[in-house]
Amino acid sequence: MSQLQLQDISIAYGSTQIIQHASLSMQAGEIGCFLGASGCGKTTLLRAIAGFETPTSGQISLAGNVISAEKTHIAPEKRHIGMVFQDFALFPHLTIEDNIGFGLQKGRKKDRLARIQYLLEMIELTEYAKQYPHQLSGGQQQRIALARALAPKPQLLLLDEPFSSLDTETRTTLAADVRQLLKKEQMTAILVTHDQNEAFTMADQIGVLHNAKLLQWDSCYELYHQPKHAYIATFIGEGILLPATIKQRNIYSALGEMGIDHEDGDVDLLVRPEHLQFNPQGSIKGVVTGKRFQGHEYLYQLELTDGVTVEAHAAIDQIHAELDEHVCLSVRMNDPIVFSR
Amino acid sequence: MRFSLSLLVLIIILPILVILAYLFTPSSAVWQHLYDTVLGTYVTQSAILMVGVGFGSLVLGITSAWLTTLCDFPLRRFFTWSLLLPMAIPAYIIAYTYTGFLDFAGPVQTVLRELFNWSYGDYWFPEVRSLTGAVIMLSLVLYPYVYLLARSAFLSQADSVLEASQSLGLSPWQSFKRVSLPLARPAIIAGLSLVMMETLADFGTVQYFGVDTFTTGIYRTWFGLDENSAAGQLSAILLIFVFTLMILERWSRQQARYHQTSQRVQHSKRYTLKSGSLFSALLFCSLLLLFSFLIPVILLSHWAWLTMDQAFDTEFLTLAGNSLLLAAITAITVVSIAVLLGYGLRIYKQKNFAFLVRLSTLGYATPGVVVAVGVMIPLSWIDHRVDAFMDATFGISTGLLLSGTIFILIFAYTVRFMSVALQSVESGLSKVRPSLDQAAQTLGCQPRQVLTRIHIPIMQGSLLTALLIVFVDVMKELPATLILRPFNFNTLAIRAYELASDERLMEAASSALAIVATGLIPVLILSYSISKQARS
Repeated sequence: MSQLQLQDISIAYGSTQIIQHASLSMQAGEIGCFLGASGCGKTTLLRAIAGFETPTSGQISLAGNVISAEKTHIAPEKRHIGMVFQDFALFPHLTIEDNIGFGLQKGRKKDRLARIQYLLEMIELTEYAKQYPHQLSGGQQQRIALARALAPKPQLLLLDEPFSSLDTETRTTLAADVRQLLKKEQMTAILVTHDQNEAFTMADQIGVLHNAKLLQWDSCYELYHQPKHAYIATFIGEGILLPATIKQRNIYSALGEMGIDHEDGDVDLLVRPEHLQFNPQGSIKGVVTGKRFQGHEYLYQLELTDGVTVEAHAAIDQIHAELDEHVCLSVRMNDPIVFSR
Repeated sequence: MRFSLSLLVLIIILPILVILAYLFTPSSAVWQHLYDTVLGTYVTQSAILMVGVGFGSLVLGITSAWLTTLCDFPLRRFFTWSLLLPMAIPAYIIAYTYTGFLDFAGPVQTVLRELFNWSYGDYWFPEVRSLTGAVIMLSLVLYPYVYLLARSAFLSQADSVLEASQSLGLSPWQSFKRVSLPLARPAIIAGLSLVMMETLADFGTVQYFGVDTFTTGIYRTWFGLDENSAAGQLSAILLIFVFTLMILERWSRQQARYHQTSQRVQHSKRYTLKSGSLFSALLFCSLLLLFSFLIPVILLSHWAWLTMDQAFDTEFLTLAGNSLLLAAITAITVVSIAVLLGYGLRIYKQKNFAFLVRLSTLGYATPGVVVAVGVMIPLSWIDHRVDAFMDATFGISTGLLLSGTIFILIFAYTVRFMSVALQSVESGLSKVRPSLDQAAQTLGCQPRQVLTRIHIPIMQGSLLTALLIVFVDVMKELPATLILRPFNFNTLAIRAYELASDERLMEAASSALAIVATGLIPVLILSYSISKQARS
């Protein structure tokens, strides 16, 4: 049985559609992610799961119980869903330990204190227990917000852009730490972010949102290698879409002719840099129009003879092509990915 | 919950609605009589008073604000906060003080007579108890409204703007006239409208000085002529004036927002005044402080000292107790309602509800006399119905359950001071980010618990401010208390009023001084925050 299930969720403010027909399901202990540019509706979807937004249609179930449906709307405080807010939302008038213990109203005092102590140790901030939030750094506040949300052992943890207010360095290390911690607690969690690296570091399953639609809900690997939507193909990783035509199981494009198992028609062919190799014997001819240093390699921009631009990597010690130089390329694509136009 | 809050707001604005309804009632014979005889006087006297006090406050307020923000002279910091002190003195008290100061037996005339060896009738001396006197008295205590708003407007003007005007060859005076003043105009108009509203609301001063304005007219029609509907109609006309000013004030405040030219607002540089202008600046500020605050307070203290033995008797203690109790009960009531309404506004985001809550703030513009009439009419109606019903069914007379007890006073104060409390509460609530509410909710808090566990502790400061302001306003309030107080129930303000009316000014001093002293608390807190701001 899945821990969280969204069935055909739509959310609208008046006539503005924020989310259209989003469905997904998550197993217990999985970490999911809503990934998308700002304004795609990802935060709204997260807030609908938390109970701060009411879907216009569809159903949300948590651990087998319906928490939101046509005529059901369980209040946020009754959902047992924890949330880490973008601004952390630590209570300024309470100490660190009181913040963490805020959601622990029931149970014996001894158990509550033990839980707070356990969480303080987990986030390695035991010595700050009696201090107030403003006395701590951003990264520390973030961990407290996490501990506070975890304290009542919620059935699901939601993290709204949890790292966005931190600097880039803290962000990467913290994302890995948080994943480890959530896995240790066997917590089912959903993260919202616009940062792919963060999504890849944290999540098992990623949902890409664009224009109010949840385009695909899949693992990182599938999103990269089997994108189901042209937007995802270019949004995840590097790649361009090349106009192509399919006729009788052959695809024709600026890269020449390749075999493909797809019906006839005009399509866009996904070409990632790793699909192209510099090769003096290659049949594809191009001119270098741009070149970007990336440490161990260069990323070249190449204009092919019929005017389209593609990208290709080349290791530093392999190729040194200058701007405007004519080069030859070969293509290696096992399973071409195309999108019907 | 939203329904009961809406009902609460409706009850609070009921008195104002009752008054406004009088605009549509057919005029009585008494009304025709008023119209033929005194209405013209009320309108002209009120208008002259309003214009005069408006002008006076503008001159005093703008000059003092400009000097203390944009110029540099000795004691500037001292004046920055001390020029606010007159806010603590109710207009009627400064009126009593100056009457005692300047009348025939007062120290000024006595000294003049001794100096020049004059006796009664030998010389002309201006009569303080006149329309002009009222204009001066009200200006002296109301100018701080203009001062405060003009000051913050001048402070928000960027250095660069003034530097630009200097670099274009403008002298300090020219750049004040052509840059600072036009930029500050919306804020100044807002301050001016507040001054005019207070002027229209004033009862104590004009009553004491025998100036026939709307408020005294309403009081006389209600008490003297016992003509409720005519008093209601007069009140309705006054309300129209007041609400016009209120709209003007709201509008100017909105304009003021667009008049900030730059974000960089550091006043590192002020005009350094030299000899002549420095002397004038010092003289202006010193005289203003002297006349608006020092003379009244020193005089009151002196009189209180002279009448010490009978001033602080048991009666005084009873009255002080009454005042404090009334103020405390009202403050707690008003602030509690304000918290509920403010929180309601936060969690129910419906426009209709927000509009309704906004209506509950109309009371602050409504003169105390008008509130009193508006409260009295519905409550005594209810009382008489209840009494008749109880008498008919059980044979017991319940009397004036609501209108004859301090309930009616607290109700009137609630109507009048809800706005002040709501403002503080809302500014406190606005400091609590919405994510805190949501965080508390995800941790299992019901909306009520969010209020008690998050909002109230965080906005403690604002709540205390609200309590304090309402408390002091109740202590100072005169006209509504005078009209509505239960039989044999007196407060310090009433005692000061009654003794002054009996020409026993010296004996009034102890009560007056107690009121001023309480009023000083919030003003000093405001002064402190302003001087802190001036230092940093």
